[in-house]
Amino acid sequence: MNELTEKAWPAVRLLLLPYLALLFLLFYPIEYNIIAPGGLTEVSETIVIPYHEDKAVAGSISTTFVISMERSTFFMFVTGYFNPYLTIYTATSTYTPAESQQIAYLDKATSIDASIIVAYQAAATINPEVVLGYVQKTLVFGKASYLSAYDEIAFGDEFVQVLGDGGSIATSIEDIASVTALASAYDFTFRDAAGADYVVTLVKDAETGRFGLTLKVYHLVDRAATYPLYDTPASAIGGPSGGLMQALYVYNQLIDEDITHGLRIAGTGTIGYDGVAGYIGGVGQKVVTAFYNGAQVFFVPCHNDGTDPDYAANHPSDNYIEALRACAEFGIDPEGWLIPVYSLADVIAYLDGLGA
Amino acid sequence: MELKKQWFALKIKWETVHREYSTRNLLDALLAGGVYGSLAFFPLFAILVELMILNLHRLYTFAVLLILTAMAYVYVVNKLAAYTLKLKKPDHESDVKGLIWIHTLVWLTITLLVGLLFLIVIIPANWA
Repeated sequence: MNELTEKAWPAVRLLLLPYLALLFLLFYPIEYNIIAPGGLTEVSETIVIPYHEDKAVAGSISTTFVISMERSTFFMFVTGYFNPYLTIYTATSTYTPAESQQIAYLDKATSIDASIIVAYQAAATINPEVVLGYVQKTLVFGKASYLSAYDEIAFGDEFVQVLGDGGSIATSIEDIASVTALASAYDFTFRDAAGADYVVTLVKDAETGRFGLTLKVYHLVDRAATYPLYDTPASAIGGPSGGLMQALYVYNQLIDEDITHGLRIAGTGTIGYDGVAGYIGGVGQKVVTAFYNGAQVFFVPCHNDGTDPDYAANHPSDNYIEALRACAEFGIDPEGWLIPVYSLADVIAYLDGLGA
Repeated sequence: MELKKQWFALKIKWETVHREYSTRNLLDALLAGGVYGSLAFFPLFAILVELMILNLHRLYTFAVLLILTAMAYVYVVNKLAAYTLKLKKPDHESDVKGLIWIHTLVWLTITLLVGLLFLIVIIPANWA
């Protein structure tokens, strides 16, 4: 080795600084996030329902994921700047990458519950064997940096109650403000993932007058009262944007006929408990992802009820309008491929129409 | 019969090189090739991986580029190892170059097979 080092040393010395500079550009993280096209994930990989196992499903139903690169490198920023498929924006998240990942997993887990609830309800109308039970819970969804017991409360923990003014107790989000008006600190009870209750005293932030805790009401499946049961294998993909396609897949598993008609179906959009498809971010990247991965039909949320004659101009951030813009920009023909839907019922109706 | 003859010739070649250089010098040359080859190729691999992450919809294109780069890496490591051996003994008599070339071919084949495994099995099963 010494012989080669001796021979190469003049060149090594000359290239050392440019080499270190190159490594800096390649690895030093900067305050910019990037959203890039990703891939398709078949829902069968994330939700398994051992029901109708002999049913032949000719097509496939996939969710669309994008790459969300938090704190990109200089090199990524520069190459991304010239790449029309990418969106670059300033990093503003107050959460650490680990916390963001926790939130993404919470979103994903609860979106699966929402998909199950909506799909089981839809399937139960035509298949009496399908039974659904669910419970309502209030979970920790966000934590401000000034939350007084930041490390003691975990994302996804269940809010049980708060001991308020004059011994009054609030167990719902709506009642918290009215029973915590007089003092600056209150005892909150939470339930952790293992089911154990714990009490923490939360102090209001002097500047904002708030506790710094965001709670959200979720409907979670009661497995004891649900048939057929399902499994959710671990997945590295987080976020709620696969809700609509998850619900479609579950619905297709629960009914007798196959509504895929042999198509490679993809789509995006969250799912509400009422079956309405919710907006998501990174639509342009998802359009590119679905197109390049060979999706034959792509469902995208659209909330146009037909009453606004100038809907596209007045609602530029509607997911379908964004998707149409992306199609135009990247030379993708949206006709018959990009399908606007308002709810799961719209998706089912469209696919039923293909078989008619 | 022909294969047996070639195998025997290779064995003789290896013994001659081994006698002339010793295990320690041969390993030292490979280490030198590995260290300098890795230093040279590390940024290139990083660039390709970062570009692949940003262009996941072109996964196969970047997978092929990564396989080709890995093969170039194998070639350069072996080339540098051969060069180091030459520097160690400029007036060597054994066929070091021929032996290193066979070593290169074996590793290029392994790299190619692993690459094909990714292209044909692992990527379609996990991402496509």
